Amino acid sequence: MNEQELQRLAQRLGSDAAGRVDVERVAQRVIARLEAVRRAARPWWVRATTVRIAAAVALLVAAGIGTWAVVDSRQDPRPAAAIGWRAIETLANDDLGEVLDSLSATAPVHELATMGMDDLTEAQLEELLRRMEA
Amino acid sequence: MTAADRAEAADADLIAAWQGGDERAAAALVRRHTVALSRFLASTGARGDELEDLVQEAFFRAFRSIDRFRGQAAFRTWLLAIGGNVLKDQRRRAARRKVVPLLDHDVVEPSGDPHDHAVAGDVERRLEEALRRLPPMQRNVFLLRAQQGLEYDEIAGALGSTPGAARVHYHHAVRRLKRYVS
Repeated sequence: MNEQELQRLAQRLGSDAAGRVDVERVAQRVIARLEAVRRAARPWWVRATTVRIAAAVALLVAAGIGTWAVVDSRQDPRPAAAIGWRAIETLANDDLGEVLDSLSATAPVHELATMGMDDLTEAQLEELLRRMEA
Repeated sequence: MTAADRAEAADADLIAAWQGGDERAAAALVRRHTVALSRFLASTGARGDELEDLVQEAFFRAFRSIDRFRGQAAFRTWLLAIGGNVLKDQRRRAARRKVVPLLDHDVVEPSGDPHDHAVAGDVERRLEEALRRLPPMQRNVFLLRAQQGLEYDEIAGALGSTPGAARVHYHHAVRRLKRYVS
């Protein structure tokens, strides 16, 4: 037997066994194993389940913030006196004198007309506020 | 890359596509090289019932270590070398389990598949038995050269040898096989 005959024989070796291998099944199993390795290698914060959980938490937090904002906007944190006081502070002296004149006097009118804000008693201030808000 | 593109693409292009995340490129490489790998493993002594698992494991190891493949040899050559290592590891594990003991370090376990024996001609059967008697390096060099048609420098690269040593191993193998088969 010469070398060429040996080579021809060698080229036929294993053909029958190789013919029984399911090529598609091998391909699918190899791909499945490689994909399993890739999934396992992903950081935990990237995995699909973690992303879904994070999205659900974000939605809950957003809903909670939205609800709080709606409830919060219905309440006016400023007391009536603070509103009234700012309004009084913006009045010019002439205007303030008119307002004071209309008060049921605890002081004579002419005295009221010359009075500034700081001169008003508590009772007068309260009366002033009441008239302004009426 | 379309299916037609994958059918025509060179191994290097398919490897690059797979590294870029294209699983179908990996599947195309499996389809392209399964038969050659199966024939090689069957000729080096793999049993018919374990052949598919060995082929699958060889491809899996190849893709997992693809970064180490620098293109210094053909992809098939590199794959066949990995296949040889897979078979060697499997034999080693079997020997440790004492389920299928090795007869001799030079003798590969004979094929237990009766279908193979029924189909193979008498001369082919004698060649199979003769191959089992060869030292592993001579057997692998002979098959890579005579069966797979590789050049000596590729064989040397795949087996971690030199082209000159591969040539010597081949001629030793041919001389012994002629004697056994004749």
